[in-house]
Amino acid sequence: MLLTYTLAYCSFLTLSMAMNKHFQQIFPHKKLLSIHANFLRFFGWALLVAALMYSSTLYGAATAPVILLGLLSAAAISLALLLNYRPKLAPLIALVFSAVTLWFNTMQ
Amino acid sequence: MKSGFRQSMSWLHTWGGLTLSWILYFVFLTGTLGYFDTEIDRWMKPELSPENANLQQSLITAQQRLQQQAPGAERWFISPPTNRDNPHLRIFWQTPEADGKPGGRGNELLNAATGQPLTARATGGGQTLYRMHYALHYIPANISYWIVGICAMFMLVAIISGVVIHKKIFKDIFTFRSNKGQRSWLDMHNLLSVSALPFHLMITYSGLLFFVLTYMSLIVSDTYGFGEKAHEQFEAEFFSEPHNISVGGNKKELANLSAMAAIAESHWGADQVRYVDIDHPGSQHARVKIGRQLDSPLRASPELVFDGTSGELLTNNAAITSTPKAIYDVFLGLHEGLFANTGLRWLYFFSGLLGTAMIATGMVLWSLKRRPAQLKKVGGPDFGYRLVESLNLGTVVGLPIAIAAYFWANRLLPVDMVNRAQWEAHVMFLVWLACLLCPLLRPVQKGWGELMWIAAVAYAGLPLLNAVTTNRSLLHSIQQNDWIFAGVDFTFFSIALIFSIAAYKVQERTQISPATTNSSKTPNIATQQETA
Repeated sequence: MLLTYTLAYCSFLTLSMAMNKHFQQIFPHKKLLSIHANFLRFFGWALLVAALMYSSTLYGAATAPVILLGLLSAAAISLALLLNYRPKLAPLIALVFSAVTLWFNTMQ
Repeated sequence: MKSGFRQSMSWLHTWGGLTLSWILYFVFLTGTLGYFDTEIDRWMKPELSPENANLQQSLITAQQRLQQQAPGAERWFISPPTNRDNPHLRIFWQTPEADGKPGGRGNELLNAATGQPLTARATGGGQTLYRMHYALHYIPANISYWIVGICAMFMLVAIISGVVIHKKIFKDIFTFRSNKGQRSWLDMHNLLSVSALPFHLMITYSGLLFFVLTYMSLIVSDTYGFGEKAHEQFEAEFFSEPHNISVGGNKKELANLSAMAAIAESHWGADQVRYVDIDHPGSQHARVKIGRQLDSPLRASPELVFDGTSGELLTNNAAITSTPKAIYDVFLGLHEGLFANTGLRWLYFFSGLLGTAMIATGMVLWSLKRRPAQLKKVGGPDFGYRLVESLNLGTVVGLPIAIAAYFWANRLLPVDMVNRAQWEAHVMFLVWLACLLCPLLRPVQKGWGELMWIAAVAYAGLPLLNAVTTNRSLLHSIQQNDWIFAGVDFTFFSIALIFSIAAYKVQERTQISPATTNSSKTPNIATQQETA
């Protein structure tokens, strides 16, 4: 569930960074180029598909969508709150979560 | 009503949403608690320690006890502690009709190791709270189903019209801007609604489906005709329930249940037995059905059917009997989430809270939007406006306080009290009533902060009260690895923390805002001061 959440959160983070207003929240002094936006958008959707595929192998096709939708709600809420209160932390938390998940999965 | 599609949808959303929002808030909050009904049950019966017995031992105990208690029964039912929704061994029996008298029923909770019946304080437990979300309280169930059904229909209308009037549903999906007054409330309302939109739609629609046969009974009559017989035929075909034929037959002893359960476990794996259902125990025609744990949203178990006297496996009933039934079962299963493991259960709980908060923010928005105009009125705000404002306060904060009072009553009411379980619920509704009446004594704006502090104290006190009145304090639970008990205590602390933060924020705001709320021309001063 941790890895699925990480994938969901990273997916939403990249998708939000493909939108100018959220990109400006995280990097106030940089401009979002449209080629970067397209790339971020593609990458975000790819992560979302990866989250669905990974959770399906883990929980089965019947239960995975239920779990994924719940995690996506949590990811969207946490991201929206972070973007408002601590925008700089949003990408940092993605990195921390990825690192923790990676460490956790290699330990097993 | 206004012209234009979006405007009229907006009108529908505003007024349709407001009209029944208080009942919907009640339904959503108690329903959300229902995801942890078993855990709450256990917290409210602190006398019962966790059951460790395995399946084999539980079935031996159950069989012995049923033999003693109900030797001539037409049905026995055993729910072993491996079943997540029944953490203790539960037996149930039904005796046949005799001499024109209807058959009796009984059930017991057993200690699986000793076979002694478990006795705990009389309590409504999590089940009473859970039942309230579709059967309400004090109102006959068949009327409540209709009330809740109409509310659910309003909810569905509010969700769909909400999607229509939200212009930037994708662009604003991650948008929340704090300290912008009404704008922030709308942002939060949208965020709560959109981020869990699939859940809100699913829970409302499937909620309606639960009583579809009540709400639209004529659909059945269209195919099957009218009358009791037609209805029975429909039930038999749709739910594929065999007719109860009273089998006479010679007496013959029931074979060993644990041997049959062992066969079931070899089919499904360990800890997969959800129930054991015995038809006509003690007769030569006895049948034993063993059902599997739910592991997907499909709310039906595959069953193994055994010959009760020889213990021989007869048939393997699939969980899916027909496509319409399977679709119905999936919707119901998604709603109840019985298949969910601990992680998914928290996600369900969390999504339910999002729905509850969505309704609450909607209620607040309604009054916030009208506040400046109402305050300008000569002679003060209208009665209708003040009524909504008071009901909002008394429900949004009052109901959580009332639920806390329900838990307090569980620990404080004398154990030997008559009608104790009923009084727990009475205490809850009396406290709610008090909260609803509190705007008569205090100004509503001040009431928000004050009631939130009361809620915070009420929830923070619960783990302490538990530590004083039982021997299962938080510390003890952690030492014993009893994460269900500790989890409930921790959740109470978290709720208290959330309420105290909210109370602090609200009071900070009301201290600044009197100057601004009086003169609606400068509504931005408050926000400017807060950001400064």
